[in-house]
Amino acid sequence: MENDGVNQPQPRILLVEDDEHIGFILRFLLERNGFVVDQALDGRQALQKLQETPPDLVLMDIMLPYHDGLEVLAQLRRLPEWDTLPVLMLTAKAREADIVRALDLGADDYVTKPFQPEEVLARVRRLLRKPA
Amino acid sequence: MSFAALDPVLRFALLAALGLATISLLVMVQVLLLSQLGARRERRRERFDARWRPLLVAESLGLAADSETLPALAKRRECDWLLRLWNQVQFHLRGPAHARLNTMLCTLGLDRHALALLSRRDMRGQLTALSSLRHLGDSAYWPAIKPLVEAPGAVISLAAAEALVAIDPVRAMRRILPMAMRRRDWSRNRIDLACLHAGRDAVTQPLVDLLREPLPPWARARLLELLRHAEPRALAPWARGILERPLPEQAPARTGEHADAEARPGLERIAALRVLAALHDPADHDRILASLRDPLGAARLAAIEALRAQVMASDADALLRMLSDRNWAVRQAAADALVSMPGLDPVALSAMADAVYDRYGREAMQRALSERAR
Repeated sequence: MENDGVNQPQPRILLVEDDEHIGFILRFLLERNGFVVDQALDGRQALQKLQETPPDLVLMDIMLPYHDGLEVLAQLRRLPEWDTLPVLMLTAKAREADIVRALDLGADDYVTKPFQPEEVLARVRRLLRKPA
Repeated sequence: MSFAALDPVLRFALLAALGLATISLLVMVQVLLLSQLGARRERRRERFDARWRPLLVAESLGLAADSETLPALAKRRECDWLLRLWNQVQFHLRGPAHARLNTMLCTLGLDRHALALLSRRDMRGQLTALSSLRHLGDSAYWPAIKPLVEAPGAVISLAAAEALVAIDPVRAMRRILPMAMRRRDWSRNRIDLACLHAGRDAVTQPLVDLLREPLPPWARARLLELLRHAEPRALAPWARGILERPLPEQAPARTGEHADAEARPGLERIAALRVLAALHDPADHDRILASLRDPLGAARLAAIEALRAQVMASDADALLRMLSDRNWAVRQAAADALVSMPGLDPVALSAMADAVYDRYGREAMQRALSERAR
């Protein structure tokens, strides 16, 4: 799963995840595959990140402290620099109703937890290949 | 003046004060030592997690070196820590990553450590072990887990039940569901989750068998709630049998403000109507229509929901009558059913709403129409 595009700029991913273990797994997975990961640990930090330069993709949990992922997503889509940015949502399998809401708000895809790391990686790569 | 020359009472008071001061000092030293030891253990644990977590994650992603090169686990405490960390990582994974972590655990011999933890009297250790064996899901662990389902505490017994479900859902449900009818301390949510994990095929037959058993009212209510996890076709004969019985003359009076909701009569009719709603069999249409006359509001509501699943144009009159029902929820459900009827355009529905004589029914129709227009 190592990155073979040595000369290409590394895609930047904003990971919004409060769970220590999930955050570690995803960060490890993405960094080992050639992505640069910036992590926000809650909805408040995620909203602050919206003031910065947009990354290439956002990978965000729905259940977050302070502001949930749906609220962050709605705010993100209101910003012109972020409105076409690929957003991949993470959601618990038992809360599949959230998926419909996330897709309505402009999420591009979703992954349910517990997840297959290979699936997350495949979806991230697919979204990054898609023309904006 | 020497100590011996002091008044005996004063001497006693001095000795008591000295003794108390010494005891206080000793307690303070003990607290200090224990907190230092705790902090040191915590730091050691953090260093252990920082060393092992990348190894576990790399292993789960198939990026790790050979398991034989993993650091050795020096003490039993380190085995406990690794097992907990392994569970925390494993909890979030599925598919090949999950399988790779299972292989790693067995390679390290921690499956045997988990089995040894089951026989310890430490509840935290038992829970960690049950969680680990649940992730491993191997039938070889069944005999070791089975006795713990009978444990007096709900925490351990439910964790054991969940582990059995992960190993063999059909066999587990045959054992667990009858127990759920005896163990009031088992929470309904956990039983629901176990049924969801086990799947419809595993829960249907045990639930059908339990319907024939004499059960106390609380257990009967629990059983009726669980029927939604079963295959409706298997429950249809029971549901039809319930609805064939003559309806009571009037709704049962509440026996008091704190009357046991689980003992409420009519729950069987409601559960039977939910089964028919899930079944969608037109052969049940007349049975459902007859239940619109049930004296119990919740049963009339369930009948409307069941009718909605197979509503026909000829049902419009029956639903219009329900718009003047004394129960608010029934009126709203009737309005929703009318609005969602196939073949009725908004003009016809508006005319229908205007023609409703009952003011509350008319409001229900207007609310349903405005929601449909949104």
